[in-house]
Amino acid sequence: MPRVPAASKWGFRSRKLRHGALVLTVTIVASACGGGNNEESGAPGPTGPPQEGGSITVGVEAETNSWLPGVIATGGSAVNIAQTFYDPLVVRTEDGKAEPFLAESLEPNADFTQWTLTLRPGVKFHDGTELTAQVLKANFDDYLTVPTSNLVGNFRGVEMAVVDELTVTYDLDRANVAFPDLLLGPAGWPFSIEAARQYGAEAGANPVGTGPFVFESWVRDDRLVVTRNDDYWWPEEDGPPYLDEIVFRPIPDEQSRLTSMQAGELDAFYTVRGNIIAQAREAADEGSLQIYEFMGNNGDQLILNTLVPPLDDSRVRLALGYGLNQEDLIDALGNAGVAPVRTQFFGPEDPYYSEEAADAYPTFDPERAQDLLDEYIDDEDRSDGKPAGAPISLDVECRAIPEHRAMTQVVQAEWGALGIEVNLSFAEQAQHFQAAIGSPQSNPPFAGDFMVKCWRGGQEVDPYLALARLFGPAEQEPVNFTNFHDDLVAEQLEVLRTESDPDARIAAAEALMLHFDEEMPVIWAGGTPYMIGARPGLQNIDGWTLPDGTLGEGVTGAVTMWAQVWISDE
Amino acid sequence: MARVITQKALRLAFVLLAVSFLTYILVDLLPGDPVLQLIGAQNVSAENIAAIRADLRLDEPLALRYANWLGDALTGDLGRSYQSGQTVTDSILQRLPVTFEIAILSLLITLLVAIPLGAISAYQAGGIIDKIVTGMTFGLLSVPNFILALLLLFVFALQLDVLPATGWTPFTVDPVANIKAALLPAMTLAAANIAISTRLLRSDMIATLQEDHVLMARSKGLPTWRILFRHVLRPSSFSLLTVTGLEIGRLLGGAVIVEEIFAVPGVGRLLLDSIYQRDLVIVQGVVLFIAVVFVMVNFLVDLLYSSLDPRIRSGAAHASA
Repeated sequence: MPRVPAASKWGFRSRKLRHGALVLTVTIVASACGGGNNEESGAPGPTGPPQEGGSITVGVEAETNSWLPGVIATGGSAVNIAQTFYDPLVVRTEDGKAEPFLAESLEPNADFTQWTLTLRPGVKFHDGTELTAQVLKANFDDYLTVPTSNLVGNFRGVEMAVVDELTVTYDLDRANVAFPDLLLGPAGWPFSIEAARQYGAEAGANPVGTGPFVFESWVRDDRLVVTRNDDYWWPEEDGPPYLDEIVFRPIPDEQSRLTSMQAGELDAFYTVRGNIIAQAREAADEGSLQIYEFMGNNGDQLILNTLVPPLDDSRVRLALGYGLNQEDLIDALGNAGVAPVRTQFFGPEDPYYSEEAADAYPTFDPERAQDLLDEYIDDEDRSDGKPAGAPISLDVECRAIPEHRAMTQVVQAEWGALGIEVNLSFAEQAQHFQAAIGSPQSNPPFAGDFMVKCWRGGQEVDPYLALARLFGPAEQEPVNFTNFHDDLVAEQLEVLRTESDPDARIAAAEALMLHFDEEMPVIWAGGTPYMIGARPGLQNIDGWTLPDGTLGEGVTGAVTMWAQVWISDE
Repeated sequence: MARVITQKALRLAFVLLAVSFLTYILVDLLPGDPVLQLIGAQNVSAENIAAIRADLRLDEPLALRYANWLGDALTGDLGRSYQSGQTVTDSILQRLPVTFEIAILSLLITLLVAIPLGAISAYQAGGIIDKIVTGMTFGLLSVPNFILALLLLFVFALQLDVLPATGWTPFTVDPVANIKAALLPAMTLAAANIAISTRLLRSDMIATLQEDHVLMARSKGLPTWRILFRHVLRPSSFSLLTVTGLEIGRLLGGAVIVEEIFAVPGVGRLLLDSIYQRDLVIVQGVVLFIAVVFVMVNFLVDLLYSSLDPRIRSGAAHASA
């Protein structure tokens, strides 16, 4: 069976039909760019009608800490699993809009300061209790917004009120057009309040949701088993779930996960590693595997702390951008042939992708880089306080993983060729992450304790949510790792927060991307490739729909709705 | 003998106390804040950090926290994970059977291979078999265990399809599948130990073979196998016993890389994940557990010396007389 690049196969065809000129333009641009997946469309979709029954085993990348919203540390692995026993209130459709899924409706008031969510009637949790507005409110008050919750940031300035048995309002302290996207993921996974209270400290190990599968057992670091929910609320009687059972197995070693798949121990697996995707492509070409690749908004980056001299000067930042060959970085990361060049926070398939910004993004030009750098170095008033003519020195900090070590060798060589002294250091994940945030005692708080850092950024959410915290005022936003913020950024973020007109929002996003091209707070190092690999016979991995039949977002971030997958011998 | 055991037990208690204190301090000094790790980037604020720090009692002085922790630990309460809410004791007990089984299987493989190889090698020192065994042991020592693990995966799981590549089946669910799941991790862990044990046993047995009682046994016309395994092995096994004791302690602490590659839910993975997540309560609990195992096993090895060698028993008796 040929490999099946899901995003391109389903996404492009549907967009052309459903979403008019804008998306068509994006499609044509993306196709013309020839980004990895797009040339490979035309592979067959699901064959035949859905079939019930069977059990599958899915290999995922990592174990999670807990399944309780507010505590769960979500990554692709956790979301793939959690959305079998939890139902999301909203999901993204294939055109990237957040639409109700478990919720029946989610409507704003005129100025987007209040969002009214209505639940479907008759939905029950797996413990038999009903999903009501009061349960949603208890979830919100007692778990999602308590100080120890890791979702408290989602709901800063938001209050919830119960209107009737099935209706709540989210009352915002200021307008937010993008509010529905805040409910994507754990913030919008209702759970049984009775079960959570009953289990207490062990609630995270005993999830009770409304989802298509019922949580059966969990042996940490070994397996989690879910079984079919026969009382699922889906409007059609012969609808999902189709499988009887799913076993999820965390296999942290990438090569072992692929080997387990090849040995027939897994029916499907998940990866975000370029070298594994390359091997899986070979297996797909031989017909032993079907693969569903996704390339979205996420990408590898070097983030520059714009508060630290000499990186507080845009000439230096631009010089660093022009001084790196992105293709070399992609190659060093092991993503050659898998991850395309990135130029902005939106991938070519995103409606907010800007061709103009892509053209304006600095490409490898050592001469231009040297000119900009010399201009700074010879400046009598240079920001680092060193005498004119003195070379600059940069500390580059990355994770202690082979990919980052390889990438930093390229960085050291190419920036070194410009006369920059590059000092490399490596840390494990927690230390690396925490140095990016910094401490509340610094001035401004959370200014970050680094100069240049390897990072990953870009999300499949509304551009306001993707960018507001990354580039909000440095003194208010710990997540603004680069500490880059100015009047233009503030102005365009305000448009994205308050303006619902698509054209105005696209223009604002484009203005931001063009501004970043000139100010260079972030240097891109290629897109992040995602992939689900499955054995032939596993159907409909990327074709899941909403209850009303609207096509979902496919395998974004290598996450799918396993409830709508079935086994076929064809 | 009772006095010796009492003295050793007192020393053991002191060692454990020192290990627990040093571990507590070292873990506290680890770069990286458990609160930041817990809260996630999107939710960081000075107020949230302070609230969680207070909730976890991380705002108390180190000495007070250690005293509280030690008091609880002595009553069997090692605390609850910051990240999962699971008790540390449950976390360890859930994984211990897996690590224990792999460790025992690995030791069995080691001894079953190393003892005959070491004996034959010593008996034919300098001969062709000795050279082959020496070459093989150096080969095993020079291959990193993660490379060996991938090689074994390729051969036994992918090519021969006789053993599972990854995963774990409890013995109570399916004994055959359980042994199959444990074999590849155990073989990987055994490889380097086989090499070390074979080399040690060979050199000790070569020395023992020169002794008078062996000459006496030969002159009596005893068969070679009986001389080697009855009269030479026992007095030559002290180094092997010491290394095996250390190895048991190490293996029961979990073999991180091997557990990661074969995706088995052992103590090593628990420790590694907890370090990455700055889940300090788990780290302290697991390290204390490993220290207890290590010290206890070596305590038992010390006692075994005296049952293997009557001279140690009589020495102890003289000392107490």
